Amino acid sequence: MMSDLRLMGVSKRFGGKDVLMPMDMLVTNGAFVSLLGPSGCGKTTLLRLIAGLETPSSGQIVLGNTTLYGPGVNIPPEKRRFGMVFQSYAVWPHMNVFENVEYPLKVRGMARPERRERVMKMLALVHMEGLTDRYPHQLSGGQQQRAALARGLVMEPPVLLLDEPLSNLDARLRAEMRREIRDLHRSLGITILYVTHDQREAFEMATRIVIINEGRIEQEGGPGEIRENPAPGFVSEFLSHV
Amino acid sequence: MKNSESRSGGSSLNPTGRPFSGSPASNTLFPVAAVLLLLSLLFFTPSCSGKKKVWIYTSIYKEVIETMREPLSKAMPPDVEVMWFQSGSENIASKVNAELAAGASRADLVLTSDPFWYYELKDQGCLLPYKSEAARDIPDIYVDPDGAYAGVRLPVMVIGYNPRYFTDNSGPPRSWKDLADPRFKRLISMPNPLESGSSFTAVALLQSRFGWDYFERLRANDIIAAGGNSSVITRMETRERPVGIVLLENVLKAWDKGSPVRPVYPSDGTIPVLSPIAILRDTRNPELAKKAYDWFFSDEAQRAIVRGSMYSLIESAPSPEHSLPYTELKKSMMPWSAGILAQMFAERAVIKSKFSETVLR
Amino acid sequence: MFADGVSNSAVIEALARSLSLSLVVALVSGATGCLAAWLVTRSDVGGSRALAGLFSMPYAIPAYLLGMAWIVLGNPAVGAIRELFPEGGIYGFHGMVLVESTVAFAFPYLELKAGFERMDPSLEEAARTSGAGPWRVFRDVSFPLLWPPLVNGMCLSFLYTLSSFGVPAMLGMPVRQFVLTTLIYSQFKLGGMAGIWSGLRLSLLLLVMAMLVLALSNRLVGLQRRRGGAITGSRVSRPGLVRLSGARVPVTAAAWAVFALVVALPWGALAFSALAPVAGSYSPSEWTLRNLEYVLNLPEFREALVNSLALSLPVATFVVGSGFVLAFAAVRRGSRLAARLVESMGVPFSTPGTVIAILLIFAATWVSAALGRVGLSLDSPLVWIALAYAVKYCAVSARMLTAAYRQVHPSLEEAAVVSGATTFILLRTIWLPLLSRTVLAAWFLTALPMFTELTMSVLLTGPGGATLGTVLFQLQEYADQPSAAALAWILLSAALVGAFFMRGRRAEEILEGR
Repeated sequence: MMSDLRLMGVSKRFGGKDVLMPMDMLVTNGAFVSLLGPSGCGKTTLLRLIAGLETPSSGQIVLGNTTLYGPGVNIPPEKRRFGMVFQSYAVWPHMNVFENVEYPLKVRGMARPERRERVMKMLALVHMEGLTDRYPHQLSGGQQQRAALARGLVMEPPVLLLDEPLSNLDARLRAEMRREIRDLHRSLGITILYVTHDQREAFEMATRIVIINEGRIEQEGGPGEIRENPAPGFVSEFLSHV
Repeated sequence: MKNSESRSGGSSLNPTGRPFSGSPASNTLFPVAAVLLLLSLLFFTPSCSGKKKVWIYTSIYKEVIETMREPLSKAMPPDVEVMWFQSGSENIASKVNAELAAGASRADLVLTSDPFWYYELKDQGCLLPYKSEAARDIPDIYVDPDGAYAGVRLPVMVIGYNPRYFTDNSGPPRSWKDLADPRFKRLISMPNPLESGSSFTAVALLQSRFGWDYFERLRANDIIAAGGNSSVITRMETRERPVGIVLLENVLKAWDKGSPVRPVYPSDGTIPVLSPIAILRDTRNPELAKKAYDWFFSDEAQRAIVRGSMYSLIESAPSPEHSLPYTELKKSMMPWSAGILAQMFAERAVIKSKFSETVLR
Repeated sequence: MFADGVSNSAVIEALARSLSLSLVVALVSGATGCLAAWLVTRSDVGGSRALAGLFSMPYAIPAYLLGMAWIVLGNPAVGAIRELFPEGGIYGFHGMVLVESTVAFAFPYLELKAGFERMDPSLEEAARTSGAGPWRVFRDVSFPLLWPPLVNGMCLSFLYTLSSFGVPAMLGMPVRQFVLTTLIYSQFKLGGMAGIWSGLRLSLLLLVMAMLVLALSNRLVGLQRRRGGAITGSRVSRPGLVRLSGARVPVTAAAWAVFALVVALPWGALAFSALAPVAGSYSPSEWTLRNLEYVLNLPEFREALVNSLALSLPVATFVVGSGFVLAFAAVRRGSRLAARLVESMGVPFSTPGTVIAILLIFAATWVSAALGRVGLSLDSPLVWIALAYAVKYCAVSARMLTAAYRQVHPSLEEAAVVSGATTFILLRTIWLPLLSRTVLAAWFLTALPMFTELTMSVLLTGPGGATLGTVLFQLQEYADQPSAAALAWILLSAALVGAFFMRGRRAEEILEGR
């Protein structure tokens, strides 16, 4: 399946300020790409542009052979078929775990028995099969994040977008979740685009890292490559703070 | 951008909406403090004043009050301050009734245009009898035989119309009878007699003269009976309802301001609306109240009333501008007497419910 | 049995009409309020910032003036747009629904707008990336989460309509459609002593209806809470706006058309009336500034303006402030007394102004008698007017803030308590900023009707106590319609200019004085 995600000259201005300079990027099929950078560098905006939650000021976004955004084209987020996990989890408080995870399948009109099977499989994968009837307020932060992860994965999206998913968890949970997300990536073979400001997360999980600062790509490459040869200036400086 | 990087989600295990338990003291502290603050509003400006005060509640026009303010103050002793409260007749009745029900009214004198209200106040013993020498020129039919109140001016109910509507040969109505003619279907409005004393007087007199049959025909003509006299004027001016049963003073006032609205003095009798003045029994200064009472019958006061487009009850006084002279008016006026007032008062509830059934359903 | 001079069947008919009118208005304003709040907070509709402020404008116009303006526009004989109404004019049931809705719409609209702004947008974004289109996101996520403020807003619309007098009097009575408030009014107006009691009896009937509705809405919201919903986290990122794409132009046009209908049209009608030498002469050749000059030079105008400002601003601030604290005690500290107080505030809100004023005159008489015994006097009518305003409108902010407190996750407060915040600091530093949008909306909804209140002010006023409402009453009853329209037009224009300058400013900026 050809589902490389390609960005060409994508930029974003908010109220006269350049949040993202025109940039090109390629996320190859099956890769785990981490967008790494300090707070306010534009990485979350980039992710939202890809998801379709914001509209780019210029450029083109292409997934496989489909143009998601380009001249005269702007596919709304619900038709882009990405899975997305938010920093605040965004699990719906009025639905229980099962209903949360089931929702993307329900919206797409999948039959009930098939839905059930897929949801249970997904919940098993994130070790939540015992908590299907719980409401979010009865769950810990880590459990909520697992439910959000299951919801993002349940429709088997070509690309899973994660926006600082672990930043609200404690250190022990974070380590556990890092392991699990890496395992999920390996076992499911999906493409992941992961936004974080935490180097540890990026270097431990990603197959490729894109370092962003002030709306610009400073350096990109494999984790080893970047660690060995950090670009002088911002990247060296940023990576020296552990 | 900045915001999205610093979200804080709900990572707590607490059930939603479960109250967070604070110290027991603060459970009661807050509501109590809030109520106390609310109550403190009550007392934020208690004021003391050395001057004696005479309160007059009246429904006469503010402009007329302005011309009366100075001369009345001069007529009173210098340590007396005259306080005016001006509003519609029925608002004043509501206010005084409520004040009386709670103990005592602040008003010393009342001067409005709903005769039935005075009749009721007298009935309940709330008025101070005072047979004033100053009111000797007022015809007896407008004075309470026991001296509880006396007419101080004479508003009359007439037919008003907008001549701009009647541009062809069909003229405006000339009599009350005319209003029941199908020619005037959807053209007439009147004040609601359930809300306005002057309108109630008109209904009472018209039904005793023509019977309820007359109002059935007005109903068939789709008469609007809503609001006060001013809304009848507005309906005439906008030609929504170019004909109205209305107080003459409102028509004259509008005429004065350039409105096209004109009065018709119905050939079958204009309707007098007794507008008395009375002193409340619980007045704190009976002597001062009587002094003010007398002043309203003086030449000065009566002239102010006439300037305010109302008739004086004193025959020698001039008539208001644009109006039919009082002597002419008197000839075609429906009969009025204390007996008629008493009878109408007794039948008040019946008249109101009958009107509701006939016209307002 | 119920009232003098009115048959029981007439009372029951009026009761039925009151209830059906209030219900229809609540439904219409709930639906439109929901749509409008969504459009201005979540979509890329054109001019959303301006619309956001302008939509609540009709609320700033006193109902009797709105009625006056609509009669100019739609009266069955000569109204400019009378043909647009099914019964050939503005009078009657749907006219009342239309005009009441344009005002009552503000309650659900502002509640939901605050709700949307407070809600974590990623809850909705998560649904979109799950494949749900804007409508499904609204149906499956936004609506279930914003249910409590919506019910509360509709409940306020219902009670507002139930206790409203001006519109039913102007648009219902000419075609003989009575509601309870207009019946109560005529009882008070011409019933003598007996009328006061029978008016109070009727308002008791009204009160029972209001209590039933309040109990019902409390149950509905309570059920929702037990199901575990009703959380929105802290305020977070700017939401990604829903692109209306192809529908943007027609939706924008429709939104502005609605604004034109509910604000610009009455505004224009008032302007025409204000410029006319006499009511009904609307041709431009006759236009005159005389009425405007007359009003501006009126000696009471300045006094009234000062009084109305001096009354509405502090009283509204006080009322919202105590509502803020009371709602906190009720929701966060579980104080039953506070909860009962908040609930009981619905009583004066659904009581007609005339009844409140009569009861306050009772009270005023007792108090001044008591003060008189200790040699004091309390002649300032403003004290009683202020009390009347506070009592009548305290329900709005208390109820809105109660709903808002319930929507926010307790962890936000707990974090502060753990950090050692006292209750005062907690309220000031955590809750005030968190609820700033609701506080501001509540403040507007409280201050605006006070600014132009008429029904109670007219009965409670006295020397030195002129307010804009009493001056309007004066002009309407004793001067003429054009000068009343002139004052109304001045007030409405001032409100519009105010809204224009407020547009796009965020609630917290205003609260923090920036």
